[in-house]
Amino acid sequence: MSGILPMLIIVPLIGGVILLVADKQAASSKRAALVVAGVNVILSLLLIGSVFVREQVAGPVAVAADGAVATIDPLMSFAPQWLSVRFPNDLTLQMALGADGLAAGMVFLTALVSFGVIAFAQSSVTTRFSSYAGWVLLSQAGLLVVFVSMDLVLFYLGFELALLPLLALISGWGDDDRAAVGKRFVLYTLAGSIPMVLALVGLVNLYSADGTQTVLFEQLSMRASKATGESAVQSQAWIFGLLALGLGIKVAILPFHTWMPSTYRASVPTTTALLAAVVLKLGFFGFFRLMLPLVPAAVEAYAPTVLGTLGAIAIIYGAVAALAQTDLRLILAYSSLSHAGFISLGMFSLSNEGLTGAALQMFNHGITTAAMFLLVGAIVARVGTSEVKSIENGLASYFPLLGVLFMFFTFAGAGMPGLNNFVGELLTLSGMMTRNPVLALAGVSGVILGAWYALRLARKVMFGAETSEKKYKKPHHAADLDTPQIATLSVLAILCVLIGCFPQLAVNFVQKDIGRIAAIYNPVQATASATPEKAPANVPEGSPNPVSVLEDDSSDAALIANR
Amino acid sequence: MSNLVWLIPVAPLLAMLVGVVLCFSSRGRESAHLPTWVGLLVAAVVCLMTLLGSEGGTTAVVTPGYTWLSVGSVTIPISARLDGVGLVQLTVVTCISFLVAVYAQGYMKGDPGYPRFFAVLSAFVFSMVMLVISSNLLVLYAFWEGVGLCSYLLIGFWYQRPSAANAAMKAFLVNRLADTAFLAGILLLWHGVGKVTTSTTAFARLDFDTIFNVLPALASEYPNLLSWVGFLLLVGAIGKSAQFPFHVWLPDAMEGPTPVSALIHAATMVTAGVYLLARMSPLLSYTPEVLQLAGWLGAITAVIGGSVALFQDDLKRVLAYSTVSQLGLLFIAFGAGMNPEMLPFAVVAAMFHLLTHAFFKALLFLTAGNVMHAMGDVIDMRKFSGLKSVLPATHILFLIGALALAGVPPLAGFWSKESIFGLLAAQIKDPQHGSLFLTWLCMGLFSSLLTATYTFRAYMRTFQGEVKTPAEAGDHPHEATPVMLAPLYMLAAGSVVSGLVIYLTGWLDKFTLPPETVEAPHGSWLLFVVSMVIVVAGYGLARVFPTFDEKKSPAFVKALANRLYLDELFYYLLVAPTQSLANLVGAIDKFVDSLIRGVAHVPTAAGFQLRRMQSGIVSSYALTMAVGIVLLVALAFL
Repeated sequence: MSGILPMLIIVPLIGGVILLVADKQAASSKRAALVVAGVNVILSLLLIGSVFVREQVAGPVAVAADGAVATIDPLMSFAPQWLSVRFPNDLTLQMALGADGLAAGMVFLTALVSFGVIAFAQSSVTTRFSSYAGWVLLSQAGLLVVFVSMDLVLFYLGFELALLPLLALISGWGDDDRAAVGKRFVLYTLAGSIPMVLALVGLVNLYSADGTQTVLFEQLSMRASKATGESAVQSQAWIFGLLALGLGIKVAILPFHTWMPSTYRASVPTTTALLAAVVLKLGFFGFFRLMLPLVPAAVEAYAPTVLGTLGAIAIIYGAVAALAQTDLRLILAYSSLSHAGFISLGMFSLSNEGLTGAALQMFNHGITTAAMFLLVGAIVARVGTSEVKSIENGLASYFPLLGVLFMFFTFAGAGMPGLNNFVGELLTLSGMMTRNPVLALAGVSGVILGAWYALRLARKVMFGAETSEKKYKKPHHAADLDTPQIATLSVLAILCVLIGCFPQLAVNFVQKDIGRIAAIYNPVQATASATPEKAPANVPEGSPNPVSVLEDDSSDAALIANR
Repeated sequence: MSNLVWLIPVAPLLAMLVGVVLCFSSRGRESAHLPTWVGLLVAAVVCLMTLLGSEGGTTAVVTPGYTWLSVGSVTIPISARLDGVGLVQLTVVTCISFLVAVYAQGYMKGDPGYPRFFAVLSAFVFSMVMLVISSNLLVLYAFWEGVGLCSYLLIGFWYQRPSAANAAMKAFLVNRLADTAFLAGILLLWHGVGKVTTSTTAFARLDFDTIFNVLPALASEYPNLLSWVGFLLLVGAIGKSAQFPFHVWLPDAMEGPTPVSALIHAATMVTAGVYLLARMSPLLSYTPEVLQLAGWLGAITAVIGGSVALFQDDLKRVLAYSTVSQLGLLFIAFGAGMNPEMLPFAVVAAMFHLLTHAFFKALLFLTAGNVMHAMGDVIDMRKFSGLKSVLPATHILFLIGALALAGVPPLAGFWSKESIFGLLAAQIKDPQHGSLFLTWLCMGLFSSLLTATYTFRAYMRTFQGEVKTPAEAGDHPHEATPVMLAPLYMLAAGSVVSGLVIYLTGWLDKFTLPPETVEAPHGSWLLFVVSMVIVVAGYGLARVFPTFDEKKSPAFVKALANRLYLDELFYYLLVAPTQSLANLVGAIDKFVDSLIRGVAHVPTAAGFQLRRMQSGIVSSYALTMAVGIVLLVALAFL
């Protein structure tokens, strides 16, 4: 199994290069692209499996009752693999690949979404499909590097290199203003990269007190955990600020979000699916890897107030802005902004529940938003526009399967219980509830706002009169979805139901890694075995009648309580 | 008994899954009603067996299921918790739903969405059952939303019709608005329970038993928090139970197929809010101000609903507003439970009326469905009359439902209304709130007068007078098929006897009251007489009530015919301002964007070198960036 991680990166890398140089018109390139993407899905499933097995064997983080960490598991659930680069002046730069539950989840998401992008691009990207698929695979390789990197250098290389092929996708296919939009994307990226680089250099220097420098996450976080107190806050503050800016731009944190709607609109919807589902998560993943474990003192001091508040504002701002949009893609773009707010809200509550919710929500938002943008791609391919007014309503009458799936993912996105997003939103909200109830209650307003724009959109596009005179574009486009498309969306839909009905599976998958981060901030909360004092005695499951643990002074209230 | 508990939700769930498969299959579509029939029948039989075999009592029995979610201090088990109130509610839900499903086989025959209808119907019942038996407030909320989703799918069943699609959206969003408050209340309560317990162990803070156990501590330490929780839960309840001002979704909900209206109005959706209040009554006993609010909202709703119903020409719309009005009575009952020692009786009275109302309202809607079927989907009472001879069986059935609704003794509605009014009347001497109870009693009696009037009026306009049928009905409108009549006879039987039996035997009390309580307050003979006078007066009013011409009618009639312009009020107070805010935010966003674009022009002005790069391929930027980065990272080590 040890070869999975390098293979995950090499397969799309080689596949992408071949497709780029291959004949742009070859019909076989469609099949080849699907096969490469399919192989990567299988590889990512193997990774999920091996991480899962390791989680089962190693068990959860063990923390003693007094809050002291008794045993520390190796940082990664998946054994790291090492690469060494020897510099001329005898400095050896160690680089490591590894995957924990969070990383494995993101790898799986990336592979799945890339497959979906290629499956849907086959019918919607009509020019230079071969190069399109090639760039998709190359960006996939870059994204995977980020997720499985275990050190600053690889992380950053992947972080920036993934953006090159994405840039080619953005400025190569899409609306007429795509070149300008691509330029703005680059400017934002640069604006984010410079603080990132400075922060990383700062991190390496900050934790080189004993004379040795390291770029490995594991060693850096060990050193970071020793730094506490006011002085640590001060020394970490500027790194925290730079990271918040650099990563914040990537996650479109307010007010640095304007690249997002314009890019999401100008690109072809399949590109946008990749951007919204995976690329948006890079920044959040960076928060998990770089910020939370490496500058904990500063995070504790500033993150909940600053970034948590921005998250709560984003939930409302994004949803309200979505109500004003008239383009399908823009509505979804602002909805992404709103949903990403929940991730911030949970993450910067710094509680175990909130962090777990944030991790879940990264994955959940990935699958629902990818599905929505892929479906929008299918709609654009059929009616030729994403302007809500120009789409004759009643699409569901023409494309029943498309309609069913559209409604399914609309409700998943709107946080319907039983589907995935509800779990993440619930956890992020309850996490923030213990930290700052006002922010959490502000976030609750997303429940109505999110449903509002989503259902209004569904009403305008899917339902209403069948307009039989309207001729939809070319005959083969007028068909409902094809097999690879149905397969992708079915897998995404099954994941939605699975996580929604059995969220504990997903929680257990990431709990060990999230628990470690949560333990930095809540040493007591991670304790698993303190005795209840005046606890309301939740009688163990299986006992037939748990009521009647009442005091003797059974007042009327107690009598009523007994019912 | 507890072994069979899971069968009640699982049977409809399996029916739903089979139904979903049938939706996508090309064969077996016309027998798609079978899985739903079987599933609902099994659920109903298990409920009835449990109910009849039950000794009564109010102890809850918890049957564990599985742990849905457990992270840190969030622990949510999905378990079945069955007590007297829940059992009664479950029986009503499953039995009425089964009868509606039988009827729907005839009503929906030949519809292209036939399997979809039955799949969603099963899902609806499944959600409702889970809502009732869940042992955890959050799980209740989850299925509460599920009920909302199913109602959306059923109301918008004929999604090609713009009116149906709009009604579905409206129903869902109005409910969601209330649910937002509900969820906030749940989070607050979760937070509060955590505050009064020092345990760090994972335990289900939102389990009902946990909540009820910590209530005394919560009430003494955080009374304000508890009031807020109560208020927010009440908002959730008035959303689902269509109370003022959230009732606007319910009358539009009849855009769905008629069996759906019967289901939503009688057995499932609208009773959820009442059930929530009954379930949380231990908490509400600490927050009399919330119950007072419930009483006021109920009283207002009862009067508004009754008045508006009087001026509708659409038979189903009359029934819809009648539901709004009757649910108002249930909320008045909760108001009557303001004094904690009276709250259990308030719950009994509310459950009683909920039960009888489920029988006769389902009956009325389904007979209206028969009328609609015979009249070629026309339901406007101005277009038909004298159907007594055309639809003899439907006529009798409708008449029974109407008499029960109007409160004619000895039919069901009379007794259950009587127990609500009796509770109020018994307390009018209360030194603190006596005048309040008297006010509600008067408003309730007035709404009864309105109920009798609009019910008899609708009956007379539809079935009496000269025979008139619309052109859509064809030449020979005929009576409904046996499958559409058989369930109605059962409902009619329930509408006749259920009230008297329950009133005389006090059968509900043994399920809903703690064992050693005093005798429930009954109405006096005076109240009986007043009620009967009201019914007679209502009948008289209905006979003389004029039909208004839309153009020439006075302003208040126009207002009532237009539902008091509450839809418009909702629009101008809530929807329009939000939309303006949205447009403003959109404009701000464009402005921020233009600022950024201004910055993007800086490199162009910075000189020839940069300009050349900019005019080149955009990716050269990125290449520059990547090279720079590698250099910078390397620098950190040198």
